[in-house]
Amino acid sequence: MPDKGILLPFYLVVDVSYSMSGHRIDQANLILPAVADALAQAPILSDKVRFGVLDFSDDAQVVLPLSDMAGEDVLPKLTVRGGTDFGAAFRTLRERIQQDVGQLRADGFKVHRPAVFFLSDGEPRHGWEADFTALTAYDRTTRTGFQWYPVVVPCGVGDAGRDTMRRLVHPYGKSKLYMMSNGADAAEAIKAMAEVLISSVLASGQSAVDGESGFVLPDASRLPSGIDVDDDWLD
Amino acid sequence: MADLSVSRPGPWDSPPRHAASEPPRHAAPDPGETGEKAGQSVEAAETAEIWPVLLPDKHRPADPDASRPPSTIGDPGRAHAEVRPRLRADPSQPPDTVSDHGTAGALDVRAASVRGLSHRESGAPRQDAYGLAVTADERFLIVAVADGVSAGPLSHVAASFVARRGPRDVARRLDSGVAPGSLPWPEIFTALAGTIIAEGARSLCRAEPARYAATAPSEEEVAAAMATTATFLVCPVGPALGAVREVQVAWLGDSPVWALDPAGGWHNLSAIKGFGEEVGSSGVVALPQVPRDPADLPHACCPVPDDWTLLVMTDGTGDPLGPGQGEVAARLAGWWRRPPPPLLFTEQVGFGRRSYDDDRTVVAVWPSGARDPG
Repeated sequence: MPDKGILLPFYLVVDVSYSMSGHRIDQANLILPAVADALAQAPILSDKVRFGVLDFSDDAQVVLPLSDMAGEDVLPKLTVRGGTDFGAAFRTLRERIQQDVGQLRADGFKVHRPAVFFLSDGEPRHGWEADFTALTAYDRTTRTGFQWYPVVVPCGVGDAGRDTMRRLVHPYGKSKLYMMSNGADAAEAIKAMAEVLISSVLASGQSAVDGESGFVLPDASRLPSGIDVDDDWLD
Repeated sequence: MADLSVSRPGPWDSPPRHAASEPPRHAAPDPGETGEKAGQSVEAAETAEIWPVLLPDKHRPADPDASRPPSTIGDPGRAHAEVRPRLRADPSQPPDTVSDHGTAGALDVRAASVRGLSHRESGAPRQDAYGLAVTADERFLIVAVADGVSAGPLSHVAASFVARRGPRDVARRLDSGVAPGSLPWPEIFTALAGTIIAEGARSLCRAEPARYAATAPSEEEVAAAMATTATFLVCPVGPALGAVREVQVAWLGDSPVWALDPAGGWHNLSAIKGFGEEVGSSGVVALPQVPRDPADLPHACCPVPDDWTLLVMTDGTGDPLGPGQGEVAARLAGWWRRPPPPLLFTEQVGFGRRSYDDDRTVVAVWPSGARDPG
């Protein structure tokens, strides 16, 4: 019986290929504590938000299972390994969402469509497209595909290609592409992405408090420096 | 230490004593206490006589009454324990919590409206309201519950209009001889909408005098600034005829009316088919808008057994109650099958449950049958 209230699941998916070494991974490792701090100060929102972290290189791993972040004294760390396989990330993500949302629903929660912040700094290995389709495609009329497909918000830094990342924006209208600005520092851009992520988590939680639809991205006019947002879509 | 609460009151109800020479007031076990249990009691009492001034609070034995947890259902979440409510410093805002209790004829009534955790945290006013009236001939109780739409910054004003004016208007019509089943609900809701538009325009002018200096606010501007649901219950207060009480229910928006049977079963009176008309499909859910076709205003006449509890509520309670079958439904049924002490009822209306942080309002009516022991 869904009488346990509404939950908004957020996933952060971080590229941990070798190119992320150094400042980039250090900066990425500051994201999780910052999210935890933000939620610690917002008990009303934290009651509605679940947060999980996956990393990926040649394979993908669950770094932090979807959690309410309360009482997480020791937060896991990301470490670099291997190459950049988007497909592995999308496959693992789909499995996790299937399992997490299924479990939360079985526990009596109303679950909002999950949001995924997908952070990468490089061009992926070929052949990820089918896995992305399996993660995101759903036909409402025939009910085929992945019913609990997430909103995917790509965040590109470093050598991530704008054209590739743009293909990850899903669905159009709800998501946007965040890219490192030309000439910016990748670690600084990751920091800026973290700000976007936290703003989104808080704004989305507040939207749920206000009885509205849920997932919200921050206003483009308040974008931190070092990144730009690309939402000028012609469908 | 656990026995402290069993064998005697806590040691903190009199000032700490240093004088070991004084008679050991607590040392003697109760006559009924024997053996090991009583022995522990003596030991605990001696400890307590000496230590209270030396120990920090957290080491004191808990006072069983003071430490009773506030009402929660399931996982209360963090907000229930951690939100620091902002004090209502603006006297024009409604109080954080209001409650009433009393009898009307054969009815026992409890009412409470409690600001939600999110409004407490942000300092926004409680947007729920309730109102009660009894007809001059003391034959009918009228209950109104209103839930201000959160998008409107002055919706609490609209809710308060409905709660104040609505029951009075219905009472006046009943006093003029209209039968409860013939109450002209479209007219009543339309009159309330007119009140909101007229008084709301004045409120807007007061709130933003510069903006409305030249031209008065339009109806659309008032409706954007304040909107509210309205749900009415009209209940005869006399002894039930044939153990059934015929009540009238009318509503605009999502504030439901429920009945609770003695077995703990929940019965929705405001939307279930078979009790009356179906919910209108006009899409209008809040005053001052009213459906274009008055027939779209849902109302129902419900025969209710005299040992059932009637509950008019806003969705702050209606949402966690859901379809009346889950954990919340079971707990509220346990709490509210009989009238609880009034302030306990108010506390229960504000029960903690993860992610439910909306304002809550419940008016509960226990007909005489529900008060009999059993």
